[in-house]
Amino acid sequence: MLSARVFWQNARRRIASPAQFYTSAPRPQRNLNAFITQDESPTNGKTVAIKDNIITACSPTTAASTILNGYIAPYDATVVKTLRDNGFVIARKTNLDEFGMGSHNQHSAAGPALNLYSRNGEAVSPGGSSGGSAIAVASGECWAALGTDTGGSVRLPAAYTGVVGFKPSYGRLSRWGVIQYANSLDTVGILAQQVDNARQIFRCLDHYDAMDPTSQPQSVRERSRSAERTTEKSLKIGIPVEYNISELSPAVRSSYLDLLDRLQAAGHTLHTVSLPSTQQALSAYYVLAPAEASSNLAKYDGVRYGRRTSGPDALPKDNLTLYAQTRSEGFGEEVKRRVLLGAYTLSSEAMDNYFIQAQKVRRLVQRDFDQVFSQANPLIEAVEKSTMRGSRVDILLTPTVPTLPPTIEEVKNQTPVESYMNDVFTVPASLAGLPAISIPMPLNAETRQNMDSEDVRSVGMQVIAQFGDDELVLEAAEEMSRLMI
Amino acid sequence: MNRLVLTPRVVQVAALNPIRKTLSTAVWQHALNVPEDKQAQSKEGQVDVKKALEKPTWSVSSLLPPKDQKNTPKVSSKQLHHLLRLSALPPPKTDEEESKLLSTLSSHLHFVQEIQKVDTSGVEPLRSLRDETIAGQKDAELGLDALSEALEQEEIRGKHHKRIRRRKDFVENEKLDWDPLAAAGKKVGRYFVIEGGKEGT
Repeated sequence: MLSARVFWQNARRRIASPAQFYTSAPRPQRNLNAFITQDESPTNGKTVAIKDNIITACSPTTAASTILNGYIAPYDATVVKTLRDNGFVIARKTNLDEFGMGSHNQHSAAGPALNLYSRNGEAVSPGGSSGGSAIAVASGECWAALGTDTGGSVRLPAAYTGVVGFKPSYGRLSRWGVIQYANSLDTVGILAQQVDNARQIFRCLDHYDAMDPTSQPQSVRERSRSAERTTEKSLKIGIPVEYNISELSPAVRSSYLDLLDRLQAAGHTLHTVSLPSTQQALSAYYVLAPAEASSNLAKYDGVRYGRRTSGPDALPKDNLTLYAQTRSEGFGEEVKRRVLLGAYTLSSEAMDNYFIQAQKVRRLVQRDFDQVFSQANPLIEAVEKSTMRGSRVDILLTPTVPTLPPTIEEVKNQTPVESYMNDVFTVPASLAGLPAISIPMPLNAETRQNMDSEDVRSVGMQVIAQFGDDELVLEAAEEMSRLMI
Repeated sequence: MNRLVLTPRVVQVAALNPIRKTLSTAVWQHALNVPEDKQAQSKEGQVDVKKALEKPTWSVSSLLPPKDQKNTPKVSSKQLHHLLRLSALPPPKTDEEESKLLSTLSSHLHFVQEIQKVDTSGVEPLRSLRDETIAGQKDAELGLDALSEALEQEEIRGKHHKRIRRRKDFVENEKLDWDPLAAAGKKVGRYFVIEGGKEGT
C-alpha cells in the first residue's frame, strides 16, 4: 500500500494545467435561459447564483411554477442569509424543473433551460432539476451556485454540464426558506467548477439551524465529526456491482474503468461490494417523493399568495372543487402527474402496499449502505463489529448517470417513467441521506474522436460516503479530480 | 388494520409475472455471488476492474411497463376522478384526456410496483432521517420544562367541572414583523376571501 506522500506525488505528476480543463467550456453564444430574475445591485466579491426554489427577500421566487407568479418572500432563506452575511454576492435566481420535479430542466414555467453543448446541431439536456444553477456555473456566470437535491437534482445536472455537484448529508444545510418538494429527501446542494469552491460554500453553511426542524442537532454533528478519518492513508473504494447495469453507455463505462485503474495505480484499493436493494430503490423513491409532494403542494391554493384564478375559487356546477381551477392553471403537467400518483399511494387502499412498503425498502437501502461502509451510521445505535460481514470501504465510486446527456429532442420523446430511469444511480444515496458528489471526468481522446466537437467533454463520477462523512466525500473528490487530468 | 392481509392485487401481480419473478431472482443470486467477486480480487486488494465489471447485473429498463400495457395495474375511471378530487385538480375535460391520465397513472404504478417483490416482514419503515439512537431519542423527547411556557398561559377553572382555559390576563408578546395578508390577492379587512361559487343545477 502506498503512503499518502507517494500518492500525492503521483497525483501531482498528472496535472498538466489544472485550469486548462475548467476553462475549456465554450462561452455561451446565445441565451441559454438559465436565469429567472436578476438583482440590479452592484456586485463585488464571489457571486453565488441561487436556485429559484430557495427564497430571497425583496426579489421574486417562483420555483419555476406559474402558481407562484408574483410571489415575493418576506425573508431570506437561512442559506441565503448566511452567504450574504459572509460577503458572497447574491444577485441571480436560476432556472429549474417546476418545484424540483424533473431530470432535464424542461418542465419550467420560465421555459426550458439549455446546455452549453450540442450534438449534430441539437442542444443536449442540461440535466435537472437544478439545470439553471449548473449552466450558470459551467458558463462562468457565477463563482458557485446553490441547488437542491431530492433524488439527484444537483448531481445529475453537474454531470451533464461538466461541473462539480455536491449533495451534503440530509440535514447538514438548513432547509428554512427552501420550498419543499419531498421534505424527507430534500437537501440544499452546491454547484461549482472546483471541489474546493464547493467546500468553501459548504463550510460556510454547515451549521445547525433552529428554524429547520430537520436540521441535524449538534450531537449528531459531533458524533460524525469525531469519527472522521485522517487523510494519512489510502482510500478503500467500493464498486457496487448493482450499479453495473446493461444501460451503462460505452463512454461512461470506459471512463469509469479508466478512473478505477488510475485510483488503483495511485495506491488506493478497490473492492466489489453488493447493495442488493438498489433495484428497488428507484421504485421506492418514485413512491415516496410524489407522496410527500402531494402533501407538500396541498398548500398552493392561491388564497394567501401566488397566482389565483380570475373566477371564483370553486364551481360546483362544473364539478370544480375548491381551488381546483387555480391549481389546474398554476401547476405544470409533471407536477400534476406526481401529485396524482402521490394521492393514490397515500390513499387508504394503497397506503400499506405502496407508501409504507416504500419506507420499508428505504430502510433496507440504508442497511445496505451501513453494511458496506467501515464508518458506523451516526443515526443508528452502534452494532457490534463482529456481527458485520464482508469487506468494508471508506467510499463508494459509481458513475453519476448511466449515459451521456440525451438531446432535448430525445427527452421530448421519452415517457415520464422512461425519464425516471435517469435517476437510478443518484436516488439510493438520497434515500439514505448520504453525502454524495458528482465530479466531471474528462472523456478520453478515443471516445471524443467519434463525437461531435460541440458535444460534452466529460462524464460525471459519483463519490458516496457514510452519513455525516461529508468532508471525506469532498476530500476523495478532490483527490480524484487530480488523478483525472 | 389490514397490514397482514395479502391483497388480491399483490397475488395477481405475482401470478401474472412468473417470468419477471424468475429474472429478478437470478439478478439477486448474481448480486450476492460473493465467490465471483473474490476471483477478481487478488491478495493485495488489487481488483481486475474489467473482469469485475464484465457482465451487467441487471437492466433498469426491466422496471418499465410493457408497451401494450398488458398486466399493468388498472385504475378505474371512478378511482381517477376520486384521486383528482383529493388532489384538488379538475376532472378530465375529454375522454381522450381521461384515458391518457389513466394510462400514465397505470404505467407509473407498474414502475413502482417493484417494491412489492421485496420481503419486508419485520422491517421498521424509515420515515425520516433523524437520530434514532437511544440517546438521540431521549434528547428529542419533550419534558415539562420544554412546555412550561405554554403551560403558564393556562389556568384551571371551575370547582366541580375542572377545565383548562387560556389565561385572560396573558398578553402575547410575540409581535409579527410581517403581514400575513400582504401577498393575498383578495382580502377584506383582516380576512382572506374565498369565493365558493354558487351551487349549480
